[in-house]
Amino acid sequence: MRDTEWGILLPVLSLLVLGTLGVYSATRGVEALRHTLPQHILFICLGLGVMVSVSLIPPKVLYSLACPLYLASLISLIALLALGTPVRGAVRWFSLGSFHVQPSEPAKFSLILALSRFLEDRRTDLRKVRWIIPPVSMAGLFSLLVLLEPDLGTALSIAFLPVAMLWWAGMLPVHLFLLMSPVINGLCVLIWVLTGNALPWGAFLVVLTVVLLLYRPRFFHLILWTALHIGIATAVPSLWERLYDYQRRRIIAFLNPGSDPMGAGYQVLQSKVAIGSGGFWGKGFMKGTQTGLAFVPARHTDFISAVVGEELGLFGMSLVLALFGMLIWRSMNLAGSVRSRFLSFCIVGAASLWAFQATVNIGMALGIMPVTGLPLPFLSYGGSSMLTHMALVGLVLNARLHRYEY
Amino acid sequence: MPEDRIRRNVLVGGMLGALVLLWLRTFSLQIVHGDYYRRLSEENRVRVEPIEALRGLILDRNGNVLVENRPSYTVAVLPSPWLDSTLALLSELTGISAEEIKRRASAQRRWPRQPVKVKRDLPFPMLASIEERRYELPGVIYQIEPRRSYPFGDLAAHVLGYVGEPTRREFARLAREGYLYGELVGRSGVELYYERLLHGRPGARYVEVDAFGREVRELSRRDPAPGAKLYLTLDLRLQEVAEEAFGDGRTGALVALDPRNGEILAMVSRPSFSPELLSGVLSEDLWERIRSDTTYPLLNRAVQSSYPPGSSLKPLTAIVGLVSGIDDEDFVPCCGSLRFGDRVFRCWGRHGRLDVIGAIAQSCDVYFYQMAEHMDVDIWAEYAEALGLGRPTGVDLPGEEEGLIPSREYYGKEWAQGIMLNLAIGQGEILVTPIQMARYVGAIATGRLVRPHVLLRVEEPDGRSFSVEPEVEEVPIPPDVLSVVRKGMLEAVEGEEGTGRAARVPGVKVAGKTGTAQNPHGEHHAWFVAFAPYEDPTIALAVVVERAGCGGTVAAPIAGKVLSAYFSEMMAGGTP
Repeated sequence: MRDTEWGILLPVLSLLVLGTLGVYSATRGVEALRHTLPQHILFICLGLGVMVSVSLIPPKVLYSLACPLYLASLISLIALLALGTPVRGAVRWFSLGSFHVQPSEPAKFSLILALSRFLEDRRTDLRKVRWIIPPVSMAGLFSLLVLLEPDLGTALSIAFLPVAMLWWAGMLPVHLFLLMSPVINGLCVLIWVLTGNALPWGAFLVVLTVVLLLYRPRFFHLILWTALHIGIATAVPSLWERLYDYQRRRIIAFLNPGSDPMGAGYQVLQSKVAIGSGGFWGKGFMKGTQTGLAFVPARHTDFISAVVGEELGLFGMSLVLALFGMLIWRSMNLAGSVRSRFLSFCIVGAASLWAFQATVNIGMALGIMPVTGLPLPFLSYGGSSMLTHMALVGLVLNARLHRYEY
Repeated sequence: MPEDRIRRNVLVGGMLGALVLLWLRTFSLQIVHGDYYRRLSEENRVRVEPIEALRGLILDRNGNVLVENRPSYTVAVLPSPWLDSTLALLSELTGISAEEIKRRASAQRRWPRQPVKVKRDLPFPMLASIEERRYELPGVIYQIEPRRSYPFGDLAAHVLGYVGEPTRREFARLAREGYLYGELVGRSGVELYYERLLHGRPGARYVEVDAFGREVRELSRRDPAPGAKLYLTLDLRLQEVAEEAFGDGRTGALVALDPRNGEILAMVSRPSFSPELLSGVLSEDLWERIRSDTTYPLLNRAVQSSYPPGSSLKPLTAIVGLVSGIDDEDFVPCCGSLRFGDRVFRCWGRHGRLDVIGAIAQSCDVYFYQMAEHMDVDIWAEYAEALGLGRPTGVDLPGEEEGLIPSREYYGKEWAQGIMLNLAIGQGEILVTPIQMARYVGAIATGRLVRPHVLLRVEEPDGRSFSVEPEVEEVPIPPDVLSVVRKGMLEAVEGEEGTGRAARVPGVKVAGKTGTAQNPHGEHHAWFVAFAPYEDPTIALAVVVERAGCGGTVAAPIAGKVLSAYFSEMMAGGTP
């Protein structure tokens, strides 16, 4: 017990309790959702089991499991695309009886282990570009497979993982900028295509040129990078044509809220009304009208924070944000002090994933992030997500237990 | 290491900074703008009102509007808890029972927040009586909806088609494509085939409403994008003449097309229906009456019905005979019948000795029986298919029928050469559609097979427009063979002994072929196929009249009227 880190366990347990209350309130009296709460509690119990188990596995075993787990996840993601049955136009789940397994969730866990194992190696010198390529490819492959399902939110969260972990490993800021620049380029071109405003893209070009002039990469790299950027700038408009209509509407709805008040815009407006009407103390537990009367869709999964915001007000929202903050803060402290580089990277992976998902998910309910369908860790209903995030907590606790070991 | 500390601080700062931003946004929503959202929430003040996009117009080739939109009033009730008195009064005023309204509300439960449409296209007196008692009807609203309107009534009803409400199952699919609940979709004809072009993109309004559901003000809106404008290949004046020439008492179809590019100039199917009556909310008994009508008025006989072609197929038999080199030197003269094996095959007259041109002109069965004695059915079927018979033409109208060209394999053990004798004069198992016949006669006229189409040009609301490119393929038949057959068809109309003399047009050389197809269920089907002018064909047509008798006396005069209107318009400087 002495080695248990309450600074990590306490926020996780509190978030689980808040999530359970939210799921209970959101599903009460809805016949079709009557199994949701018991299942949510079952997932929490299983999750706690997974957390304890993972925290007790010797780090050496975790280290040697990294490669097999990565391969297993890779196979499961490919098999899903090949064999899975589409639900509402997307293939995200394997059906096992009445349960649906979402392989992209455990893939996050495998990816964190695999990336940590790669970055842990002392020979890895991130000042050299060739060492940056493997970790980016490892994550990019997963991200691409998930994108094909299609599941934009999860694909983005997977793509974000190596960014934080590479930074932690000592990547140069200029490399970070160059790594992110294709994404920025794509976004700017998209804005140009949609709104006719070429200003962001122009600004980006200026910054990119200045960085390249100062950094002076090798001629070969310069050519390669320029080609990549020209490729993106020309590919984005045609890619846009191929997106599913609902994805296009969501992206447009994000870039220009109010353009789609019937679809994605409707969800966000209702969610904003729910949270905004909560006030300081909220309308009281189980007294939410917006969420209770089913105006907010997906309120027990992706929009769980709308339930918290409406019923518990600014108080509840602050509590959730503070708990996430504490969890991330303590985890990052631990990441700085553990002696094992491998475990340190694992912690950074877990903490950055929580930060990313919490930001995107809550931001979406607040109308400042696109509606991408990403669950809120520890609160949203959903077995695969719950077990994965509890396993990640196990990983952090594991590091705490073995903090003096190299 | 100091650098490590900086890296850690940047990373932690970024993560926690994001959470702080979220908190600030929460604070802004809940505290700064809290009153606003609380008001919206407590009084449920926001209602999303979809705005339907105007369906695209349908015009003829010269820009005459064939289908347009007119505004109509729809009375609807908001899906909030209802007062029984409201429902009772509403059903008293509209004649729609309260149970029916509740049934519709539960049918659209997956799309809550959208008003339940009670009655569409409200007649004016009903509108006035509801308006008078507005304050006894909380939650009752009007929507102004576009309705399809047809300036020329039933004209070209089968080509244009009609619109209707989708079924629940269809709507589940359409909703994903952005369709709104209660929107009308194409059900047949061009309305169905080009649904995607005609249906625009709906818009929406956010309105703030009071406790009675009445609009206080508009919060924001997105304008709908109307559907594309479709110019059809139809020629309004020719279509009118064709409809009139066909008359209302007959059953059958007419197709007139341009054999150079496949543009369909007129298409008639009888009996017809009123698209105006069908487009909109259909009353149960009207639908039941149409559905149980044994004359199938909704069927577009020009593309969805197949018939034996009778003698109008003889040009094909002549082509196969000439290509296979069958020599008519030792054919016996026609004396009313021909014995083949132990059967006697009859002719409809006594024609004496004829060459192939005379045989086509006078439609002599005995001549073609003798050609068929030496004919290979598979080669015959090959040429039939090369001329587009027994296979879909690819016309841009829904539900095209294939027809049937039987081959040797089709008969199996039943095969006997006697069957070929019957097929040669277009009787027996062979089935063709009127549009196939129009295309076939066009191919004989020009030596090129076209894909018939009714869409000429599309004009998008943003000004872009594109035209349909003609699809033409060469027919693998030697030109000299075709020219002999054409001469026979010319004689059939212009010759003194021709069977199609009723289709003559003063000043223009018309070539054609009559057909009288035996019908086991009653009177013969009358056929006439033609093209004109003989020298440089610009129109090809096929007419079939069901159970009407002789092709030369029933179908040929209809074709004659259409052709003379077509050419008088052309003389007058019309566009065809």
